[in-house]
Amino acid sequence: MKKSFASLMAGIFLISLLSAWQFPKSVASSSQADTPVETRRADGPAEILFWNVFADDTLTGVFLAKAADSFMEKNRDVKITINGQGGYDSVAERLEAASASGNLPTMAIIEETFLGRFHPIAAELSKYLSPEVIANYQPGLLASGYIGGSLYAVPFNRSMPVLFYNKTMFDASGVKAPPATWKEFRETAKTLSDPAHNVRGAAMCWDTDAWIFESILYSWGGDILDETNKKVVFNDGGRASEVVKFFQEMEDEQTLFSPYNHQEDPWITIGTEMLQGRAGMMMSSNGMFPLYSQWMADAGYELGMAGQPSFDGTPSAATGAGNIVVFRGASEEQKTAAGRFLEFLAQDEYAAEYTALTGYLPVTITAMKSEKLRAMLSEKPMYQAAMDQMKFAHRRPLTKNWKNMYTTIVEELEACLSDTRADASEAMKSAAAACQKIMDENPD
Amino acid sequence: MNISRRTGKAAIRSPYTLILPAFALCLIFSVLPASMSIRDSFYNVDYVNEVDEFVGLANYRSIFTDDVFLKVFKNTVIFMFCTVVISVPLAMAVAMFLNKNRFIHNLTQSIIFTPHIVSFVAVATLWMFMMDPRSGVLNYILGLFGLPPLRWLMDSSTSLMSLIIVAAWKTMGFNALIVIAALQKIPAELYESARLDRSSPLGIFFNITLPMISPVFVFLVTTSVISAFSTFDLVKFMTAGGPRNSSNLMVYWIYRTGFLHFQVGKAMAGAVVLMLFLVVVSALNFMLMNKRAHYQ
Repeated sequence: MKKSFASLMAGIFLISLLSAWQFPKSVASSSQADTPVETRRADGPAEILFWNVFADDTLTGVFLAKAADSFMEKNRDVKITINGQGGYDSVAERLEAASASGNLPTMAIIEETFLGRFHPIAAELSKYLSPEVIANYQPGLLASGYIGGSLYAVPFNRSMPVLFYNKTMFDASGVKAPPATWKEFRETAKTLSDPAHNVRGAAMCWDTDAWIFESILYSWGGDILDETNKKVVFNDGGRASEVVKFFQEMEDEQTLFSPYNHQEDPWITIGTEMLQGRAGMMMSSNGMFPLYSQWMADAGYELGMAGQPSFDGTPSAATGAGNIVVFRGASEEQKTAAGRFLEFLAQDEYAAEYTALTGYLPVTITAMKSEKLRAMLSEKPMYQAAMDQMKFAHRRPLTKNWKNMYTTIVEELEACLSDTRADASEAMKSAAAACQKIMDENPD
Repeated sequence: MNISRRTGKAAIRSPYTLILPAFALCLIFSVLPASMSIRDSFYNVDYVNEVDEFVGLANYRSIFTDDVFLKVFKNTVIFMFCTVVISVPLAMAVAMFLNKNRFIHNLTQSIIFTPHIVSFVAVATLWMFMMDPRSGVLNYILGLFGLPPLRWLMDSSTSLMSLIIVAAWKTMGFNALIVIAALQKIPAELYESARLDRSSPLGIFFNITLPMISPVFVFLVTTSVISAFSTFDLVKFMTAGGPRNSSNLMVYWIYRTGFLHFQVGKAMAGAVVLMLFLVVVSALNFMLMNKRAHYQ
């Protein structure tokens, strides 16, 4: 008896071990099946679960909730539930887990470069959006929604790096206009700096995903990947090293403040320097415009905003932030309803309202010309700089390895600004080699 | 006759019946996931791209030729060794001192136990303030002794040490409480006899106290080793493994490789290596310690 019980348990143990060898495959195949999962009851509305990258009580969370309510009032056959997920990485992690378990939402906001990872599970949107709506999106912002000629994502909360500057400081130092080139940026920083009083002309943060570095590299004529999306080219001809050396030299000249010798979040650190009048310029997202305007006004300064400087007068900048994807595993009714909701959000009324509220770029051409945005521009004319810059949007690295790559790049970038004696050429050479290894080991 | 046979069968069956729920839970939440990890470590798994192909030892070859993995593995061994070496003896010393039934000792016991029940996020935040190179109290204290300030979490040479300090601080109170409980179980007559034999305090410690609490010592070393190997929160909240992976530990590397870099097979190979290493270390620990542990 004792033996048979022990054998039974050993048997169960063994079966569980063996079953594990088949288990993941079956989960993966069921989750990936393109067979529509009918969640709509015969007499009920099509239910949409929408993962928002922002928390529910943020400006975007509240805006989306209101927009969804208005949409549902006019479309009684659709029910939208919006869940805040707490950040781009958070959404990516949860989508990864949801892919394995087969519990994907109907639609989600993802950071635009994550499309390189998630396009295999995304629905082709040209089937669910009218050609007129698609044609009305800003081309520069829509570009990162395409993979292999198919549209998988449309822009929502989109931004580009812009130059924020302390206009009060500019006026006091006799600087008439914001710099248009990086050479002018360096000269302006020299004029604004007062090392004796701990004042630097500029403050600089690469961003956690190297976004600012990436954008500056584009303005320098460089790129991250070649046209095939397989070869790492950011340091070809030593271009990335040049960018890094440029800022190292500024730091050595005491005209640039680096946050990498501070333990706090780099964005908070350089923002604080601006607010306390110890830095005259900084690169950041235009999505920060309403907050920075308010904070600078509270601190007694006037905020200015200009396009990102260029290397030789030819502007080029990275786009960024969130696109919306619809997942192909959803039922046809859900995808159609999601498409209708996307069209609803792309109406001038909502697209312009969202820009006015958050500072994110107007994602459609007609929203830019809307009454709402004209009124906003007459009140805050410097926002025009952000809108003008959309013409110079540069394509992003749409590979599933981008996160792994930028983690490596940022480590080297931070080290170079943390200690300017660090060899920028060696650092960027090593980062490029590591990134190429990542691409080769795990091809798209 | 029948009744006694049934009673006999029940007696045989009952222990198995009783452990069945625990066995089932263990099977579902430990054995099955571990088996899946082992399985995935031999596969190229990509849920999004529907890839699930057998690649043999490729994932293992990949991690053992990956400089980052080797660095992270080395960091983890150093972290484990240092936290155990610091926290267990320190806990014993503190326990010896606090093993008295007085108000102040009981109060101190409660205070030093507090870090164990405080969340890692709070602990991380507190220590990050204290380790701030510009305004942190630790650099202020170093300054009082004429020592140069450190960049604690921000420097490759000090980031791992900083995590070791925090981990040792957080676990020390719990370990001390376990030792105190063991100390209080030692019969007072043993100490009385030793004193009558005019044994020195050191002699009493090594000949009575240490042997009597040796099973607890084995327990603490084993749990501290496992806890050190599974450290995740401290790394995530305090350094994110940086600078340049100088404070990256195995579990955080597994999470980052699998969930953020989307290389599930490689992450699972790392998890299996960690599991095997943990099994070997725990087995060695039991074998070596059990020879010296005194079970009553």
